[in-house]
Amino acid sequence: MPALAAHIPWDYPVWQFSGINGGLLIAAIAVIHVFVAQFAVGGGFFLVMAEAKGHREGSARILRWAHRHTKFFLLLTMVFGGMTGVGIWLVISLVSPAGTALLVREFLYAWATEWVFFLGEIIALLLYAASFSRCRRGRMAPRDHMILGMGYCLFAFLSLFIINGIISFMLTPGAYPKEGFFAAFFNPGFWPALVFRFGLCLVLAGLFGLLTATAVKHEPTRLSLVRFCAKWICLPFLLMAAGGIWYAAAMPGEVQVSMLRRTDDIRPFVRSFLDSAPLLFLAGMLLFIRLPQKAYRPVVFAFLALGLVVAGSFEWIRETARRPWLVHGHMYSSGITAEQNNWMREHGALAASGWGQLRAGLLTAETAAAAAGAAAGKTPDAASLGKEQRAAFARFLFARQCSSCHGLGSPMLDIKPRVAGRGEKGIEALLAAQGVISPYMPPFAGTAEERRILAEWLAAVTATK
Amino acid sequence: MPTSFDPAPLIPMAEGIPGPWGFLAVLLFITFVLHLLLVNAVLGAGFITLCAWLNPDRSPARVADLDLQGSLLPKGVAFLVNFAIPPFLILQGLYGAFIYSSSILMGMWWLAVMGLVMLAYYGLYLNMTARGLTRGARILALGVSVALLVVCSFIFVNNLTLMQAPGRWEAYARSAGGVLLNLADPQVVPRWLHVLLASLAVGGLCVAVPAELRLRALQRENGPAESLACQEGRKRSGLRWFSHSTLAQFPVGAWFLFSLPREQQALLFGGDTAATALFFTSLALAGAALMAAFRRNAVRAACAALLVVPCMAGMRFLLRAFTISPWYKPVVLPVDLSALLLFGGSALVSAYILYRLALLYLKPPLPVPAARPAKPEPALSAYGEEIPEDALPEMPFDELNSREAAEREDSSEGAEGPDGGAKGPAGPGPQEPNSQDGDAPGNGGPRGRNA
Repeated sequence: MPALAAHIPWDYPVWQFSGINGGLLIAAIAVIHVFVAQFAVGGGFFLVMAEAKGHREGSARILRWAHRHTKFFLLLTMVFGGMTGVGIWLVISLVSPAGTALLVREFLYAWATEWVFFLGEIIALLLYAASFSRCRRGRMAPRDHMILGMGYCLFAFLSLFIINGIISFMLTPGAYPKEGFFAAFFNPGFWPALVFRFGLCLVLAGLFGLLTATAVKHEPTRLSLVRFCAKWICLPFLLMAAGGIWYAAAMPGEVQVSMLRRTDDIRPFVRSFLDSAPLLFLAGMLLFIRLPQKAYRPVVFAFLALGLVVAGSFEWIRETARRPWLVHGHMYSSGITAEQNNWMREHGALAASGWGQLRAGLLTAETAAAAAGAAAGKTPDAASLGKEQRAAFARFLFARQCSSCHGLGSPMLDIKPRVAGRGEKGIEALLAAQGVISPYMPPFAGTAEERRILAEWLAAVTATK
Repeated sequence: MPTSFDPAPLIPMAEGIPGPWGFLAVLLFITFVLHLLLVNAVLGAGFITLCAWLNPDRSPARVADLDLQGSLLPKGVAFLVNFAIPPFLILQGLYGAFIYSSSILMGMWWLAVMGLVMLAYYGLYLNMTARGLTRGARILALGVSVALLVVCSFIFVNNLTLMQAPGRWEAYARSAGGVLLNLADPQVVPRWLHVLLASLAVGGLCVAVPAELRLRALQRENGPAESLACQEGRKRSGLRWFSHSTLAQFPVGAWFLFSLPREQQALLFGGDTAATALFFTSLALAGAALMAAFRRNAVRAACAALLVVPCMAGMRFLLRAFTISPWYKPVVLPVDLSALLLFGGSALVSAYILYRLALLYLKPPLPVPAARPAKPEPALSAYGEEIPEDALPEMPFDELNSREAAEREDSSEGAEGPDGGAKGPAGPGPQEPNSQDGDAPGNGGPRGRNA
C-alpha cells in the first residue's frame, strides 16, 4: 500500500444522486442477486437429484418436469443471476470505489478464480440443458447426463466457496493485514458462513422447485414432486440453522454486541430474520399436506417471499453488524481508512479530495487561472470558501461521508428526521459525537470548520424541505 | 480539450497492484481480445440475422439458418459477459485510479449497462424460443436486443475514452450526478463506428466460415445440390457483409485516426516503433483479409481478421499507456504466490473437468430405442407443449421414451447427430419439437415453423 503522504489529494470522485442513497442501491441489487445466486448453487444439486428420482422411478413425467425446470433454472440463474452479479460489481465500484479497490487489491486472484468457476458453471449448465432431451429419449446414458449436472454443481459450489471467503473477510478479517492471502480468505467466519449459506442454497432450491412442480397437472406426480421439494426445504433448513448458530457464535464479541444493539438500522432485520426463518421450516412442513392445485400458486409465492425475507435479512444483518466498518477494523463504511480518517481530521476533507475541491469551485480552469500564483502550492482551506462554495462542498461531504448509510429525504436511515429541529449547533454536536457516543458510526473525517459547513447545510436543507 | 486545467489533483491514489504486473497486463490483453471478438461476433451476427429476418425469402432452409443463428446468440451473450469480467477486473487492478473515476462520472449510464444487457439477453432468448410467437414478435425481440447491445457498446466506448482523458474530468465541476458522457471528445463517434463496422465484419465471418466448412464437407460427401446451393448462398452473404464493412472501415478508420490527439497520431507514424509496426501490420492484415474475401476464401479471411484484432488492441494498449503516463504511478506489491497458485491451479483443473464434460456431451448417441410401429400419440410427441397431463396414461418410462424416440425418428430422421449442423431443407412438414432445445452438439434441425 503506497504511503498516504506521497499522494495528496488521494480520493475518488463521489457519485451524487438523489432519491436513493448508495447503500440502499447496493443492498437492493445485492439482495435480489443473492436470492437468485444462492438458488443457482442449490438448484444444481436439486436438478441432478430430481433427475435421479425420475430415472429411479422410471417416470417420464418427472423427467419432463426436471427438463422444464432446467430451462427455467437456466433463464433465471444464468441471465438474471449472472447479470445482477455483474451489477453488484458495477454498483459497488460506483458507490464505494475505495472499498472495491481494496477487495480487488487483496483478492484479485480470488476474483479471477471466481471467474474461472463462473465460466465452468456456464459451460456445464449449457451442456446439461442441451443434452436433456437426448437423455430423455434414451439416446444418452442417464449416468452421463447426471455427471454433466454434477459438473455444474461442482463449479457452482466452488464459486460459493470463493465468494464466501471474500464476503466473510469483510466482517471477520482475522489477522489481516499482517498475514497473507489465505489467512484473510480462511478468516474466522469462513466455515460457519459456508455451512449457513450452503444450507440456505439448498432450501432456496426447494422453494424455487415448487414454482414449476406445482404447475404439473398430473396429480400423483405433482404431489410426489411437491413433497420432494418440501424435503429440500426442511432437511437443509437444519444445516442452515446449525450454520447460523455457529456463525453467530464465531463472531468476535464486538460484532455480537453490534448484532444485538437496539438501533433502527439492525433491530428490525434481526427480528425479521428470527421470525421468518422458523416460518420457512413450518412452510416446508405444511407442504406435506395435500392441497388443490389452485391453492398452490399463492402459497408458493408467499413461501418464496418468505425465503427472500430470510436471505435478505441475513445479508442486511451481516452488512450492518460491520458498522462502522466496511472491512472490520481497517476501512470505515464510508470507504475511508482509519489512517486516512486521522489525516483528514487534522488537515481537512477538502485537502484530501481534488474532486471536493472541484465541486467547491477551486480547481476549474477559470478559477485556477484567477488564483494562479496566489494560492499555488497551498493546502486548500475550507474556511476560505464563499457561501455557495460552502453549500456545494457540504453536499459533496454528505455524499462522501454519510450517504453510504443515510438517505436524504429518502428511505434507509433518512437523515432529515434525525437532525430536524436540532439547529446547526445540535447537528454539529451530533457529528462530533460520531465514533464516540455513536460507536456504530465512523468519526467525522474532517476539521471542525468542515463539520460546521456540513451542519450548516444540513440545518438549511432540513429547515426548507 | 481545456489546456489550462491540470487534472493532477483529481487522480486518486493508486492502489498497490498484486503483481506480477507483466502477467496481469498479458492476461488483460488476452481476455480483452477474446471479449472484443465475442462482442463483435454477437453484435454483428445479431444485426445480420435481423436483416435476414426482414428479407422476404421464407424458404425452409433459410428459416432453419435463422433459427440456428438465433439460438447461438444468447449463448454468445453469456460468454461475452463472462469474458468481460477478467479484463475489467484487471483494468481495475492495474488502472483503478482511472477506470473508477471515469465510471463514476458516467455512473447512471454505466450502471444501466446491467439492465440493458439483461433485457437484450432475454430478448435473444425470446427470439430463439419462438414458441407461440409470431414472426413480427420474434423480429421485434431480436431488433430490440441488437439495439440495446449497440447502446451498450456506445457506453463502453465513452467510458474507455473518458478513463484515459483526465483533462475532461473537469466536467464533474458542473455535473456530479453520473450523467456525463464523453461526447466532446472527437474520437468517441468514429471509435464507436469503428467497433460497429468491425462487428459487422466479424458477424459476416461467423456466417461465412461455418458455411464454407459445411460446403467443403458436402462436396466431399457429394451432398444434395439444394444443400450445396444453400451453403454457398450463406457463404456469399457472409463474405459480402465482411468485405463491405471492411471497405467502409477505411474512411471511418481514417476519421478515427485523425480524431486522435496529434501526439497519439505521431506515435503511429514512427513516433513509437511498436505502435507503428502494429498499426501497419493491422492495415496489411486487413488488406489480406479483404483479398481472401474477394477470392471467396472465408477461412483465410477469418484467419487474417483474427490477427487484425489483437494487433489493433495492442496498438490501443500502447496509446493508452502513453496517454496516461504523466499520471500513472503504479506501485507493485510483492507477488503472493499462494494466491497466484490458487488461480492457476483452479484454471487448469477446471479446464480438465470441462474437457471431460465436453467429451461426455460429444459421445455418440446411444442406439435408438425400439420404435413403436403404431401412430404415436400427438400428446406425447412434443416435450414442453401444453397438453393436458391428465390425458397421459401412466406407462413405463422405457415405453414412453421409445414412443418419443420413434416419433422423432419418423419426423426428422437425421436432424440430430454428433456432427450437428443444418442438414438441408425439411419442408414445412411436422415440426421437430425437440430441436429447439439446442439438443445435439451444434444444434441443427431445420424447423420450418415460419415457412
